[in-house]
Amino acid sequence: MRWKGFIVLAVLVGTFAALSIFLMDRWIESGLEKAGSAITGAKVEIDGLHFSVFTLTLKWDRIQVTDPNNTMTNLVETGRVAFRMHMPALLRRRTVIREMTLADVRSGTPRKYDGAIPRKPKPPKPDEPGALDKAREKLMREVRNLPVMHFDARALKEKLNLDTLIVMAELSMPRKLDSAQTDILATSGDWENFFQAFRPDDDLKEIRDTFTQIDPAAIGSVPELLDVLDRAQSARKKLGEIQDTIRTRQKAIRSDFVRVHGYARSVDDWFRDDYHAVLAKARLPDLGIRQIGLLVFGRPVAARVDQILGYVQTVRRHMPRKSDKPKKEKKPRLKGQTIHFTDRHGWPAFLIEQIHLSGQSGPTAGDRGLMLSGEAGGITSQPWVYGRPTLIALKGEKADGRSMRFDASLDHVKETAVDRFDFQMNAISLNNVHIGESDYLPARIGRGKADLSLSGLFEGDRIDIRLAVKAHGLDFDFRELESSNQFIGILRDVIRKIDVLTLDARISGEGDGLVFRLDSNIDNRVSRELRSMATRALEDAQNQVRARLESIRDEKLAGVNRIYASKRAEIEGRIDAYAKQADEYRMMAEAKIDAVRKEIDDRKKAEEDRLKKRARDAIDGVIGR
Amino acid sequence: MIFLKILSKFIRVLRSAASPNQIAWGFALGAIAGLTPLNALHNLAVLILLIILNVNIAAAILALTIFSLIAWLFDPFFHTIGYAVLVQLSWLRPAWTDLYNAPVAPLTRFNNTVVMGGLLTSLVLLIPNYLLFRWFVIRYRESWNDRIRKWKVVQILKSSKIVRFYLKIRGMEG
Repeated sequence: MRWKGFIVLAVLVGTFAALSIFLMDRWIESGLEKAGSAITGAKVEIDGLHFSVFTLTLKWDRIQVTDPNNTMTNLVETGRVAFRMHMPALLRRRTVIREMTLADVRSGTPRKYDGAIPRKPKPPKPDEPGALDKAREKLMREVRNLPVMHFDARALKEKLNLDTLIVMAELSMPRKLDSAQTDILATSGDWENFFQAFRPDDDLKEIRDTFTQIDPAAIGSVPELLDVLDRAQSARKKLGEIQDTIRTRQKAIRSDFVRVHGYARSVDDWFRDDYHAVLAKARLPDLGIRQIGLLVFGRPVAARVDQILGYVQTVRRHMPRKSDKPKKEKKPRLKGQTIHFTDRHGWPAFLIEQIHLSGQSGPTAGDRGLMLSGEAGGITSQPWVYGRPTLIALKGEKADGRSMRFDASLDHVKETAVDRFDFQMNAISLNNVHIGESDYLPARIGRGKADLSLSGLFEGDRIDIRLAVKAHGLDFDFRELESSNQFIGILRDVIRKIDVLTLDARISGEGDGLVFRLDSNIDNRVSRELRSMATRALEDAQNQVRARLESIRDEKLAGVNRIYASKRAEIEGRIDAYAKQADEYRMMAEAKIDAVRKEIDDRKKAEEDRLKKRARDAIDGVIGR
Repeated sequence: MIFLKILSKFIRVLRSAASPNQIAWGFALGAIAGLTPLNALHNLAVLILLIILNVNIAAAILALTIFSLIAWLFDPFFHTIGYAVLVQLSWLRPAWTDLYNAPVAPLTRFNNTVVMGGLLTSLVLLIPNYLLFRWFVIRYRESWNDRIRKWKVVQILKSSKIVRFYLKIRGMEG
């Protein structure tokens, strides 16, 4: 034993205790700022932090959480905060705070210094993007693919250079008609080859001569007649075979030509496809009512929704779902992975049971905005241990009738996380409010008031967000958007004339299947104005496209029809000629054969009669008459 | 300079009057602190042992340096061991759960994979480290010391300007 070591130990313990007393506050403050910055991605600063070891009370005078999207303002700033840690939980390395009070909470307060932090390299993204990543990408893709509404007559003319569009559209109709023509020529070629081999002319001539030469009256004896009959019947049989071949081929020829004529039924479909393909290349917008609201407000709404989805992703990253067995994770060196076991006390690793909030929505004392109050509870890193969802209820009001309400429930207790929020604002001032990027509206609203309702449900990977806005007395300063775009002019006039502007948006679905709908009461009006003022140009363009395609179609179709008609007439004419000839000879054959048979019958009868008379004469001679 | 200091400390430890047992135990305890994250609570126990037991602290510091490097290199291995012990050995789960719910025990961060893996490895290596380093010290003192002194490279180093300059400075530091 090193007895002096105990003295050293005592000195070390004493030194540590002294340092703790003097530096504990600084250590804790630094630790919390670092943790907060890691979560938000921007600076978090705490002023006047004090931790009492004996009462386990932590308090600070101010906390500033920088807005990561605008690092010269604070996302949240609070006044004095105080809370106690729960000692039994702390001894088990769990941070449990039963009750916390956040006073003087404000948002959007200006900062003295830039709150950006040097960006740490982000951890490598997982191979498979999550459902929310896919949903965000799909939403942005839908907005990017919205057609551009630009009604500048000169620009439109350039945009609608038909020759260029038709080349870009890669028309399929001419190609298909050429294929049909090729098919007709190939089919005709096959049949022409058939007629090279099938030449019944000589056989038919021989048959005709056979029957023409038959003259029953000129034939001497009955055996000769029988011989002629035999030959005639053979010739008829041969004729029959030729006729069968002709009939079979007739059917086949007709069937082939009917088949190749099938293109006639499809030409209209091909025309329609090419028409739409050309329009798509021109990005001529569909003037359907639904599109207008989406075109005008889609981008700013999508940007806000994307922000909301980002917040949901952040929440889900820090409030994981329950899983039976923790998966092995790849961590930075020397950090390791913390494995949590069943907690028998119901204490998660981090929990704030209840927060009482009070503050204002405005950034300064001179611009207080709404007076806010509310509660939040069950904020935890392990919801399944705590067993209850995180609940947030916040409300704000002002004497002039403005009010807001925010309720949220984040339920990550079970394997499928269910997050809900509902946000209502009434009579909110829109004066100088920044709405974000839009091609058709100024970035700021001049003045106006609005009632807004925004609700969201995130059940697993399924998303359902609904937005309803009712704005009164809107005024945009369109001078910011000086342009030759007549569409903006129409929009400005319509917005000025209406008393109330309503928007109804719904974003729902899952991952790549996300659907974005946005309807507005200006859809009808703007659409009408478009039709009356600007649609003529579009209709003219559409008519030009139609006329051009029709001329291409008619020219090609005429050629194809001509070839079809001539080839069909030629091929069918030849086979029909053979058929007619064979039929004539058939009739002749039947007549001749009948004549020969009659001659044979007549001669037989005559011979019979003669023999009967001789027999009678002989009998008469015998009996002596 | 730091490398020279560590090497010089190493040689001084080997040649010091401390017994091989003291040096070897110091080394073995230092290895525990080196193989696990320094801010783990069990290292406090290691520190207390180093202070109150009659073991060589220089050897402990040397071991801490060497094994910290080894820990960085073998971190994935410790993570795998720790994960296996904490998650995959389901028959240990009740024990870990009891420990997780007991006071103070979670402060040791036993439920961190690298802490658990490093601690287990260092405990397994405790006796072998002691025995190996003890054998090394005895061998060095008995036969290697004189032989190494006679090495040409040692002669050259000793007579080199850098080493003489260093020894001079060290002499000035007292």
